[in-house]
Parts: sequence; C-alpha cells; structure tokens
Amino acid sequence: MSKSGKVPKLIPWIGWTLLVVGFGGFVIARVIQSDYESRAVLTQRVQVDKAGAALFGDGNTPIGSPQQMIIDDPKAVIKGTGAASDPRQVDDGYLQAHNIYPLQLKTVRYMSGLAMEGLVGCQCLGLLLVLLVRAKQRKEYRQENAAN
Amino acid sequence: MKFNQILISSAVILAALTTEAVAQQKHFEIDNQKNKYRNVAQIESVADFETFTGKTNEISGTIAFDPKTRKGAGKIVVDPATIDTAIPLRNEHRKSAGWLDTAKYPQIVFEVEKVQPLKNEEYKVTGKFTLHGVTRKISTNVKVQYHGADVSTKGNGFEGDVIRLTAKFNILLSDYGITVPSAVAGKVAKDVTISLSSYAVSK
Repeated sequence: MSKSGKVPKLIPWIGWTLLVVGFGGFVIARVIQSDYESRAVLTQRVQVDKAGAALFGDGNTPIGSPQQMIIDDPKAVIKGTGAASDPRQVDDGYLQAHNIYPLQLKTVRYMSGLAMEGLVGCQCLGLLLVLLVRAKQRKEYRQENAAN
Repeated sequence: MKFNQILISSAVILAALTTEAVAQQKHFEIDNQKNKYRNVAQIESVADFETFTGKTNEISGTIAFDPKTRKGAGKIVVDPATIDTAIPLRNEHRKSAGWLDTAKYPQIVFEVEKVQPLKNEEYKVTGKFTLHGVTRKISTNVKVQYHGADVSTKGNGFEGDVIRLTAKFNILLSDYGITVPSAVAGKVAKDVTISLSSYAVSK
C-alpha cells in the first residue's frame, strides 16, 4: 500500500497479468500436451539382429522396455501397430545414426504437469491480488461515502 | 574288504561319469570381435521423468554348455565405461565416482555357480553378480538357444556352434553401494533392470 493508504495502480495490474498469463499459459500447455499425446505411440526400440532371426527364428533385440514415444521419422519404424500387444518396433541403430533421442510421453506429461502447476499457482496469486485490491478499494469507497 | 572294494569301484565309476559329463560340455566364447555389435548388455532405469537405457556391446566371457545334458557354467564380463545412454553428459555422470566409478571398478561381472534346467530353453541360473565393487548372489532365468555349426551359422558370420544367451533381472542400486541423490530422484530409479543378449561361439 502507498503512504496515503491507497492501493498502488501497479498491484491490480500485476494481479490481472498473473491471472491472464496463468490462464493462457495453462491452456497452451494443455494444448501442447494433447498434441504430443495424439502423436505418441507405444514403441519398442530394437537392435536389428538378422542372425537371431536366421538361426533362432526370433530376431531384433529389444532395447529397454516399450514406452509411449513421439518419433516423427517414419524411416525409423520397422513394424508394429503400436497396440499394447504389438508395439511399434523402431530401429535403435537408425535413431543413433541420425542423432534422434526419442521423446517420451511421460517426459512431456511430467514437464507440462510442472508448468501447469506453476501456471495454476500464477492464477491463484493473480486472483488473490485482484480480490484483495477489490476488497481494499471497496473499503476505501465505503469509508469515503461515510465521510461524505 | 569287500565293502572297501565296492566303495572304490563306485568312486571310480562316479569320477568317470563326472569326467564324461564335463568332457561333453562345449566351450563357448562370447564373440567380442567379429560379432561384437550383435551382443548387447543394458541397464534400464524407469523413473517419473523418463525411462532411459544405457547399453554397450563391450561384453566378453566364456561359457561351458552341453545342450544334451543341459548343464553349464560360465563367466560374463561387461565394461561399464562403455555404457552409452545416448546423452554424453549423462554418460560422464554415470562413469563418475558418485555413480559406477568406472575408473575404480572397470568391470561388471556375472559368474555362474549353479544351473538348473527349466522347460524348453529356459534355465534358472544362480551366480555372483559384481557391480561397483560389490558382489552379491543373484538368481535369474536365462534363455540359452543352441545352434550347431552348419551353413546357416557360417552364413551369419559364426565359425562354430552358436549359443545365444538372453537374461534379465532387477537390482537395487543401493545394494551395490550406489546412492541416487534426491536431486535426481525423479530422473533415475533406485532399482534398475539389467539385461543381456549375447552370442557365444564354440572354440
């Protein structure tokens, strides 16, 4: 509060900014997350192993476990639909050769979750500031009316 | 006197049988030259932030295996300094003293102590697993596939009989003296999955 006891003009402006940025950012973060979610496919990285297929009937060594991944390069895909019973197989050698580090959906969700939590915090803080300023202004208005 | 003779005869027969069983075991060596890139050892961490896999083709070892009696033994060694997680900075962290400390502990070793055949090509293998200088006894299922030397093995670059070993087991990093700092708790799991897929060729 200023020395005169009045609310500085900057405070409501900060409150509204936090509210708008928080809300807008939250919507954008949710849209980005939805976009990645729509592109993510259950993927199994594999090391191509023709000897395994020729000698033992089962080739391609799994690298890690199946994960929901966003890999936009169709050349990396070997086979698979992406269903739980048939994860999309992706050539790990191709990814390495082309410096592709596959983005995981859980990383996107983790990051967007943190961002959305922060943005909800912004909205709450903004709303609090706006309400406090309103309450203060209402009080000042009542006091002025009483004085008159 | 008669009892002693029976005892000695039994011991001789038992020794002969044991020797025969050992003699039937073929000796295989993990091919870390010509077929090195077909072998892969992995360590997978599943954490909240991401799941990452470190892998290496630097595997060596010897295996004694008899596909008929389904008996075996062996030792497998992995070079931890070569484990690649696809992020150079993470590779450096992983090699450092706080993690695998590869300068001080340059080998991850699995030494087979007991092999128990299960169904088909599956075996329950018990052995000593050494990581970060700590040795603990573990048991895991191992798939051992055997293919005798023929045109197809030669055509695929193997000079001799071939076995393929596939194994997977979980360990708690703290059991091996590796503490995950709380600052990276969301990025690195406290328990990791170790897996191996490797070819060995008869010598």
